[in-house]
Amino acid sequence: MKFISSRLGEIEYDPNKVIYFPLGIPGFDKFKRYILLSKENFPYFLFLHSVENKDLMFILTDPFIFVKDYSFKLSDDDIYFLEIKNKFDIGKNILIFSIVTIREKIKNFSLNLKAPILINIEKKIGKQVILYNDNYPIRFHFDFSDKSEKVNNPIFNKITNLNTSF
Amino acid sequence: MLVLTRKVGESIIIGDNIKIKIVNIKKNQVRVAIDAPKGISVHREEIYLKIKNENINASKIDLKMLEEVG
Repeated sequence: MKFISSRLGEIEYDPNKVIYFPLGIPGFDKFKRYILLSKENFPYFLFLHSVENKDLMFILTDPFIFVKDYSFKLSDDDIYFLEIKNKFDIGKNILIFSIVTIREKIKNFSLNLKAPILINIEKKIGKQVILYNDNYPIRFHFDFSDKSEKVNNPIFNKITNLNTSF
Repeated sequence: MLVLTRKVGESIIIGDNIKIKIVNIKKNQVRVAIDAPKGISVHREEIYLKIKNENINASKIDLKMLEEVG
């Protein structure tokens, strides 16, 4: 199938790769179907693009690149919602991403560690989880010039079966 | 908007299966216990609004900025 992204142009995608966010994403709860896009020259990023809104996309990254000891407890509700069967699913069937915010004026980047995006890649269900008890910030600032060991494992290697390159 | 008065230990039922119980009151703080079915998210409003606001910021993407980083 095809859609025209206002930023990325025409995207052809496999409808079997659409990820369903039953609650949408806070701020955009009308839009529930997304695909993951990658581009080789952005090895640290994925684009989570709505297939229902040509203007709606987010930049995702792997938070563990920046915060090695990132860890949190999921609520029973989130475990149920994402159909997580056991802890071994995490990192395998369940992938964890952070939304990246870029602020033009001050040219800085931040990751939202308070509300990670979790995707069950087998069931193709996603949710932005809001962590209750962890003191992770909504804006975790980082410096992209310090990208020593990141290149070795481009983020899209993790999601070969769901990924669409453009 | 419906406004109800409750005592400690009393509850409010919303629909068939959302229950909000007043657990404790201390000065200007009220502690509530919320019992909602699976799949219904419950959040502190100010945190939810911050997340929502940050998502709106995050969706304003300038690809040129990203290209600079590579």
